Amino acid sequence: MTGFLFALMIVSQPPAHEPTYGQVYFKESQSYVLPRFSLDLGYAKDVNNTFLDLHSFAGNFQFRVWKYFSTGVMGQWIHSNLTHSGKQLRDLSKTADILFDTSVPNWGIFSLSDFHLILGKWNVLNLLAVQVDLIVGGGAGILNKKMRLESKDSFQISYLWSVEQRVQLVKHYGIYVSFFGHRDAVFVHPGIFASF
Amino acid sequence: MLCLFIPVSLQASELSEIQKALSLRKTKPKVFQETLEALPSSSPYYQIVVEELMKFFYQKQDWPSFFSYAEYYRKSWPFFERSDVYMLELLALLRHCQNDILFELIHEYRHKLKKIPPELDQMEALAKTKFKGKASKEKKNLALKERLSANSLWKTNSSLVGKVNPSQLQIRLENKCANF
Repeated sequence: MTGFLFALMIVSQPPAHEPTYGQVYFKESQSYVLPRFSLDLGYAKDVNNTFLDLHSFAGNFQFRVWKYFSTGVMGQWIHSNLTHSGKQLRDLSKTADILFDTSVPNWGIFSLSDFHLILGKWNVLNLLAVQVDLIVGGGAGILNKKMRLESKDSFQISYLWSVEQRVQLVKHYGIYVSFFGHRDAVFVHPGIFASF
Repeated sequence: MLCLFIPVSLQASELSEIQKALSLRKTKPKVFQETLEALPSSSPYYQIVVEELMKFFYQKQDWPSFFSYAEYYRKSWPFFERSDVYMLELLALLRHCQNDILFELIHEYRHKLKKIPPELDQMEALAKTKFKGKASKEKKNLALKERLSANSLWKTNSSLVGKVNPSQLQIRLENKCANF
């Protein structure tokens, strides 16, 4: 009986104090690997066309190829208006026998490959796990366009480049702003994304 | 009968997995590390796994991982259950010139042991001595290495040591040998 109580006392003893040292870090393995799929959707406005205001919607669907590299397809649907300069040129037809014509893009579809540089992750007040990525990409595709005064449209092969700053605010979702350009114009493109 | 058979067969498969991993230690160190790190801490062979990983990280001079396993080892098994691998932690601290921590640990061991191994006295003497090759090699760009491995590191406190799997922790310790 005494032996049993003694054994019980030993077992119920708290673990002995063990010294600790160093700065401890919790390792989140593979947390910087890209999600399998991501979808961007947003508005895009041209920044360099003198005669046309190009308002567009652009979307980009990407799937992971390697941990920092993805590839996919990007599409853009463009609605165009004449800028103030464009309107002045158009109105020349009223005073002089000059017809102003320019090429107007309608839509484009491109293959796009992105390289993701994850700049950092922060835990904001234990509420938000903010992740910031810089994404650089390039590709090629086709642009559908027509001349302003003609109804017949044509296709043109074009390059595409893209630089994107992405901020993931909650798990799977976030916002981004990107600059992308093809043969017609350079666009600024804010939007939202989802990744899984 | 079946209830008895399943845990026994699971243990046998774990053991064969460990043996297979041990055979790959020199030829495929990454496979060795990944296999052993994947074993759950509930495994009856987990102490052997931790000891093997401590030896592995010590040889590799991967100090943040080594110290994580060393602290886990000390906190998880009482002194009388430990093998001589516990000396590696003292050696690693010696090679980082972390004399205060080293002396504290030696003091603890002296307290617990009836027969004090001569290595503890030698370790104490070496800690007070400056000699060539004492300092461990410092691996630079550890943060970049983790980034390239796609891992993120979050600063936390020492209360997690012993509670989470040691493969999920890293303990960074300053090498004081330059100032010694």
